[in-house]
Amino acid sequence: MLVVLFAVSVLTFLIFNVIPNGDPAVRMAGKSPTESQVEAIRAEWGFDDSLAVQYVETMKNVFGGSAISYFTQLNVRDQIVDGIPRTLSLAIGAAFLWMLGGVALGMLGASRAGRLSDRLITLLALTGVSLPVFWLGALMSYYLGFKAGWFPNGGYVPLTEDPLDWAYHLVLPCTTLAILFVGFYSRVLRSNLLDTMGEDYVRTARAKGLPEREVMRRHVLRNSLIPIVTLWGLDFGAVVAGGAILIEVVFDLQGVGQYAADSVRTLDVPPVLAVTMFGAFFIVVLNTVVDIVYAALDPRIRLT
Amino acid sequence: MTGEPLLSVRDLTVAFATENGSVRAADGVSLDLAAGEILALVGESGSGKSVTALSIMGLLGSRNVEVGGSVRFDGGELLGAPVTELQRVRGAEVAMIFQDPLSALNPVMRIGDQIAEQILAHEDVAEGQAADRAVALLRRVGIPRPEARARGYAHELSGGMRQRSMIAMALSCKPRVLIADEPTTALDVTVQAQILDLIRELRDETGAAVLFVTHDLAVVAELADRVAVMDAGRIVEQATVEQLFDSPGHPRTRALLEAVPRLDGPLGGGLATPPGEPLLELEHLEVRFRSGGGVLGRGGTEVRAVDDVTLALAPGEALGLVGESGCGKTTLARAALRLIDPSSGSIRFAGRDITSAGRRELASLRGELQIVFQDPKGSLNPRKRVREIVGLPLRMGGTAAGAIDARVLELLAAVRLAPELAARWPHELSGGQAQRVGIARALAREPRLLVLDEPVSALDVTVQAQVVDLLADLRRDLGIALLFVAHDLSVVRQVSDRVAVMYLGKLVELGPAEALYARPAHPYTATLLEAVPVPDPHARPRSGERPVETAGDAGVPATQPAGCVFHPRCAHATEICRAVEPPLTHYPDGRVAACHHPRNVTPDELSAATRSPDSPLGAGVDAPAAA
Repeated sequence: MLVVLFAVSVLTFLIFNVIPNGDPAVRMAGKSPTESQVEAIRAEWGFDDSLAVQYVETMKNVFGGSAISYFTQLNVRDQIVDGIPRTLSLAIGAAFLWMLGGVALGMLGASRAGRLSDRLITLLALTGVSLPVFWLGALMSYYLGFKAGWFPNGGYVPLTEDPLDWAYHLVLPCTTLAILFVGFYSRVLRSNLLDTMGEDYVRTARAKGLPEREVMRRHVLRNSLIPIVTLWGLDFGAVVAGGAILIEVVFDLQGVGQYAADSVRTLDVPPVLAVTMFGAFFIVVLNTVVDIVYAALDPRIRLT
Repeated sequence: MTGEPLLSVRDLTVAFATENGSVRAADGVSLDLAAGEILALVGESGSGKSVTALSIMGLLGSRNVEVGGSVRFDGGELLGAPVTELQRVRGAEVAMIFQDPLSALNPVMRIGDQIAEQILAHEDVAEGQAADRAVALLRRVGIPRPEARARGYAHELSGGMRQRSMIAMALSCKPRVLIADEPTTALDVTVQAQILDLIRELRDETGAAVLFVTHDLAVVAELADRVAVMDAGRIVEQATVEQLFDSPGHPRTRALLEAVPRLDGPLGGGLATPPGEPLLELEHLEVRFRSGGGVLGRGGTEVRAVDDVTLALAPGEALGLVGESGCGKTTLARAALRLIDPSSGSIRFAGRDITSAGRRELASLRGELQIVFQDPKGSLNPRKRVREIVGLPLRMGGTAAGAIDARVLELLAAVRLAPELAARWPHELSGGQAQRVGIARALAREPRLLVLDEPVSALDVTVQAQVVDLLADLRRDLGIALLFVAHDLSVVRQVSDRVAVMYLGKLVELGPAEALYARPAHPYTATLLEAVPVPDPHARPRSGERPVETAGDAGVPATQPAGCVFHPRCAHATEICRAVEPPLTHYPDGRVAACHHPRNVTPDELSAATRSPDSPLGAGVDAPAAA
């Protein structure tokens, strides 16, 4: 895990150092600076040190919470801490929606496999997966938010301030993000369900005289959901770690993703590094959580 | 039989709709089953026996299947009955046991819950009560520590214990009819013997009727009262078990009976320990695996799949290698070919040490060392025609392109396949044909040693007999040495000159086939032979007549006990067996056994016995003594 984080941070740091026009001193000095001004900034921020020293210094600051943005001069940690509840709200709401929708559509599709309604669901799912998220977001925001006025036109209200308004602001971004995943999840669950229905132990369950509902619930659905739960954890991690950048920007949520996007635009190394670390750390942690949950759900891979 | 039968099947017809029209899997099947009776439904794969069993309970599913005729249980019609009525009968009145207990049990649900679930579906009892009954049922079917097992999962149990759990589940609501679909086919002989005893005992105790579906006539002879023989969807003969075995009426029945491998049948081998330099020599060979363990592979237990085995195979000799599943026989065979790398010990082939031969050196030897796998279809590339499959080793071996086709036809003829088959795809072959193609491929480069890993266990008995004949002929005509790995002792007997018996990674007995089958020296060999069902209903064992060793099963190889590996299951074990590993002892008639208290050994033989130089390095020096 530490190796992964180290590799990710070094790569990110190097990429931002080889980008053309990336010299932060020149950019910080403002329009038409003098050579001595640039030199002064370089010395002050340590840009004249070797790359290795710069890397170590920056990482120290990132982990110590004292990293400062080159351009906004704001503390990076404060910015991220401010963004986390926004990103998490979006990710949790969307994950909840797409799981619910995926399970419902997946079960519907599997129970009518091959019939017209199954094909319609498939079509719908593929459409959802193929829609570009920024386009769908913009469309929803424009028609449902701006034109119809049913929903707020972007923005975020903290949960602690007004829970209702918080939820109200999250409806559109969460739905937009969920639509992308629902299609995918319903497809996976549908094929899992159909595979499981052919298993010998499902025949055993019927031979035991269980009512069909119990057969489906206890034997088919439960076993089909196990791989989905794994997928869910990984996708959730990816969304929190920056997968929702587009949604955050479209709906102006000011989350971690949007912060990262803004920082990349200005080639602002400390925030980019910090967000990258945060994302990588989160994904690694969630992977571990998923492994543990998986072992709890499926006794066959329980660690002995 | 008095009055109306309990279960009565009349003119049952099952048709599957396929792209090429409808296929009749069962065609006018009529059966009667009385209370307390065991009726065996016998036939080869595809004869319609399983389809018949499943359609009695309406378990075939509704898509693309058309079921006609009548199935009456206790006076009520089951075919076409409403689902709620079927659900009332299923599990409570008519219960089923399936072939593969691992896949028939839900892998993520506790065993106890799976049993309790069935009780709760049929009876108005509290959940705690159902759970208690589940434990009592597990105890009844002979599962040790039933409380712990009820909380466990299917994968934690051995095959025999799984099938016992399945039986406990089937019995949970005291059904009046038990349908068992090949319930012992996936099990070792010793475990099969226990399960058959259990089914017979339960029938005596509960008076339930049993419909026993099987392909194995030897099992039928051990268990059934009456037999119905199926062929191509029809019942061709019905008789009491004695009538059927004494005077089979239908040609199909006679063909099935003739194909049954027998322990008292003719021996296949003939050459007794051929002279000359050995072709394959394994010295103190060990293969260890790690199981479990932490993130970086530390910790966990080491499994000794093959534990200090020394064996030699002469050119042209046929050596049978037998043992229960998990005894290491397949690992040993693969290690001998260097398909698995040994952990220690050495392998010599034709005088050449190949223990650490590199890839290139092995590749040059591959033509002389060939293997035939258990799953005939799974080991053929589905995207290549038979011609290409058999021709590939020739091409790799540098045969001129023009000569390949002629040689392929020659090889097909050698395994008695028609030349037309060269153009077929693997999925167009029957199981027997596919295995012949596998053998033809292995023969392509004229190997000196052919390793056969359970080559016939996936085949029907009649096909099995043909393939075994073919192997015996090939060996005689071509002089190839065979290492024949199988769990079926009666099949091994038909092919082998010598037989080696393995238990938990150890070689426990090795000897000329005739001596070993007639006078097994090691108690484990005796146990295995005792457990083989005898295809003669007059020689049926009474309940409780089996020797003690048959009880229990090999367990997990991880738990290799100290001293003699077999002592926990052995009725003759004494203090020395628990402490000292027995050396391999050579007896005058050629038998070699690792036992402190050998069976079937005369005092003279005992005094003439010598310690074999092939004994494991850790074995003691004590000479065997009478028990």
